[in-house]
Amino acid sequence: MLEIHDASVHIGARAILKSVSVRMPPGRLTVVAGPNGAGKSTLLKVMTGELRPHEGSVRFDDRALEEFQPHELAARRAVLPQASQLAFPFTVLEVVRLGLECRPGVSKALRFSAPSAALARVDLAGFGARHYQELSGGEQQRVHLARVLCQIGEPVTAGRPQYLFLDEPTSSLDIRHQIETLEIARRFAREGGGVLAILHDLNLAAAFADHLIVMHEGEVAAQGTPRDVISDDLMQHVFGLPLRVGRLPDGDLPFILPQSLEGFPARA
Amino acid sequence: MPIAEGDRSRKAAFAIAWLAVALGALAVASLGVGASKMPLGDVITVLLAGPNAKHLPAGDVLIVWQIRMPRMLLGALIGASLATAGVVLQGLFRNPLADPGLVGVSSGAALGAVTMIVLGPGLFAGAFRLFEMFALPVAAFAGGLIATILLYAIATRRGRTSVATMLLAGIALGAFAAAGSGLLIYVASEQQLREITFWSLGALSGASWIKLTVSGPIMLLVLLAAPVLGRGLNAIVLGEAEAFHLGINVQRLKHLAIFLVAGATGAAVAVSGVIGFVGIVVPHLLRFAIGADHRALLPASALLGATLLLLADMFARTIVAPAELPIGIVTAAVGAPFFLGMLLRRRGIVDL
Ligand SMILES: Nc1ncnc2c1ncn2[C@@H]1O[C@H](COP(=O)(O)OP(=O)(O)OP(=O)(O)O)[C@@H](O)[C@H]1O
Ligand SMILES: [Mg+2]
Repeated sequence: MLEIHDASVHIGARAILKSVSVRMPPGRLTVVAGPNGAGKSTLLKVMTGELRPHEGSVRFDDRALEEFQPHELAARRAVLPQASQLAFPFTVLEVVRLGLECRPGVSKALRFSAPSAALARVDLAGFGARHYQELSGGEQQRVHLARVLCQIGEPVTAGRPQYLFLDEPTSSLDIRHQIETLEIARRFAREGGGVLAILHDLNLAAAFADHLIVMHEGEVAAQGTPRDVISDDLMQHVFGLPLRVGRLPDGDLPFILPQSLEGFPARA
Repeated sequence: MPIAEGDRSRKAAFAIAWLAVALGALAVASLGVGASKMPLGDVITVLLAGPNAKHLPAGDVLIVWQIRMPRMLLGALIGASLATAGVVLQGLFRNPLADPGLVGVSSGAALGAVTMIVLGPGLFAGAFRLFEMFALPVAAFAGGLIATILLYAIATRRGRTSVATMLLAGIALGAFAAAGSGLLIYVASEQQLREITFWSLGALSGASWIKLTVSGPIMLLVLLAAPVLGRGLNAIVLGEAEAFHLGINVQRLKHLAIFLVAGATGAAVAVSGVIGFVGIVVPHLLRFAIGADHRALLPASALLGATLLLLADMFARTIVAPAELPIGIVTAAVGAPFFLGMLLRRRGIVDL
């Protein structure tokens, strides 16, 4: 279980996170949504230990997060950042294998099989020998997902749940790979791991999230099941959009059809 | 065990083995090259007979064991150190254009060395003269360390490094260090001036067993320690935050990397002045051949750096014989156009 309690982050005089409390239990796919600049990536950085909150606490399995050594954390959780850069000519396999490098006690057999298995899971089987730089943006994003999967192994390892943090894992992907990526995330949660994914697409969030957290101006504007959270009110207040939330006939699942705002009454 | 496709580690291992063989052969061959040529067979005979052989021509024994051997060893160590410093600096800055000579680290080390040459005699009088010799590489190390830390602080923000800022900051640091050296040269005595000039030409001609005992261990230590960085440098290629997520203690990695770069550059500069471009040419060539994995790149670069510097030194010793060219001129003549070529091909990346 990973939980942050009353975490605040300011940069200069500006508060980027304001007393945010969030829990990330294993077995659940938690999705964080919200407008650009709402503080989603900052929240993720606080939860992964990359950024220490100025106030509040982060606890991981009932221990303060800052007490963990980097390698201890790396053995328990993997992080897919919003953007990655790579300055040198690595092959796809070499990038994916970076995920294994810091895992202690990786057998030779696993070192051989895990990267190709991870590549196959993200639909990049046979890409191992390609140069990373020569891939398309979406393919590069999936390479990093494979690297993250390689780092974390099974959802439950040595009796303890593992955690995945994904910052906009679907931002460059086509619709099929968006669905497949979230399918991977959800299966990871079903099998006992914890997943937190930042998504902009509320329809994807509605379809896959067990728990949806909507951030707005550094605060949690709403959280709960997507059914409860995604409403006309939320669209208006958080996104400033006068769009109606539709409901799918089966199970009441909310959906939003993006459309032009022409013809809508001007915003107050 | 089969090799996964895209795995270049076995290829790299072969390359490293070949480079080691080539370096060994060249090292022996270089002992026969110079103002007086010696056939390879004679070199080997002298080598096998040891430094105190009485039954061989004393001149040959002297040339091989007292003159060329320390020079060859120093040359190889310097080449290996500069190439290693290049790899580490490039990994740390996440771009292939970093070179201790180009970004001001060598100039910082040179300023440290010049300071010691000029101010040292006042510091180490009488019985402490012995320390003066060791003080030179230490001062060069300190100068290199300060330059590296400054460069890192200037060019890196929020764990990301700007290539343009790094190169420009390197120019500024280099100019500043050069100004400092110039100032010291201005106040230097006649004797110190000669010492500085001799040293700053970037020549190996002053090589001796004594210099080797002073600077050699530092370089050897750096070369042995550098492979420890391999895993961390691989991870930091993705960015500092990513390296942390992958389990690397980023702060410790950076400190060790900066320390090693300063150690390698300082020790090399203390012996031979500024020798540029080894650190940029060697890793670049190797990335093409064996890939960018630092665990292979570090030892391979050390070997190829040593090999190339020995070649350059053999060239420098023979091209204008019986005189010799400062080796820094040879490496710059080859390395500068090479660097320009790299820059032109990567123009888009260096754009501000
Ligand atoms: N290091 C920083 N320095 C200054 N401001 C920052 C820094 N990091 C984040 N911010 C600001 O904090 C706010 C929240 O940033 P954050 O990256 O968390 O947003 P986000 O919700 O992930 O947005 P997006 O949807 O665009 O990814 C933004 O307004 C951003 O400008
Ligand atoms: Mg973000």
